[in-house]
Amino acid sequence: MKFVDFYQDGAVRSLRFHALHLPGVIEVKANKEVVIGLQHVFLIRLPREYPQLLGKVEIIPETDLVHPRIRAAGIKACYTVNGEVDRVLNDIIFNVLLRPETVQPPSLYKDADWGLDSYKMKWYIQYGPERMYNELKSQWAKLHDSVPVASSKQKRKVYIVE
Amino acid sequence: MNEPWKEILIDVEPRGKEFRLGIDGDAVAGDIIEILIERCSEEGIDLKKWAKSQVGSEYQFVLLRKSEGNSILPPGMLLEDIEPEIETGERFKLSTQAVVGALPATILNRRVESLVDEFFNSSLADLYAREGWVVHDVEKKN
Repeated sequence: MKFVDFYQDGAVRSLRFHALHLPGVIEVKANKEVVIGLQHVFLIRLPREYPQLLGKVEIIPETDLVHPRIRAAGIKACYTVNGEVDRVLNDIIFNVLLRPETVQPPSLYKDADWGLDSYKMKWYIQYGPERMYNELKSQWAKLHDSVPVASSKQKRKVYIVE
Repeated sequence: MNEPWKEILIDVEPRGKEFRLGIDGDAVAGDIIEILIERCSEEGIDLKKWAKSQVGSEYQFVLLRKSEGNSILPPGMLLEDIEPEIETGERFKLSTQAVVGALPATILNRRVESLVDEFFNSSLADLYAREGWVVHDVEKKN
């Protein structure tokens, strides 16, 4: 996770999140073969009013991801989290994993729309939202048998004595 | 653990008992606030909820310096650069302020950094725990 750019007064404007060892669909071939990628990059753009106007937080994928609410890399995703940065990061993981509660396909959620790409939403529904999520999650679980998680924790400059 | 630069006392009202903290000179007030939130959360005390009940949903935490007429500790300044110099055993108080308009850049950046840390150290670890995965390197909470 890196701060990428700043507003004129030095407030952070964008953060880049590199998700590693996280399975997500990066391509669906003509023969319906699903291609999985394990590295995904997202730009999170904050409004200067943050943490007010959380609906204006933009999430922009920078790598290919097949997701009904994402048109293409470099284009703002069509969903809002309405939460602070920690919730956005959490949500990104579940979007990559295509969790049904997060993607909200109209076949399961009556007021949901078809997202930015109805072709992808139809593919997702036909494949089976739960099936897709479980397959990706099971791949993720396998990766975690062997992949250590990098900690962002640095040396504490403050600690509690009592 | 190395000797801290100073040891200070911090009164955290909703906890009903003060903390004694070891601090390094190159820490800032935001580092102190972050660890207070974390420890209180482990003790089941929701400081964010408390802050909202004090000043509303747009709040920020501040540290008051009791010996200096409850002046606010500059949020982004290194503790060793603060004048007059912080004394060992000095008392501070955690307080809240309503945020009017945009947050100052230093506070906003600290808030975002702290939330990113919270994600890696807490939310992600909780998610892994729910899945029953072994978590390497990420600090586990008891």
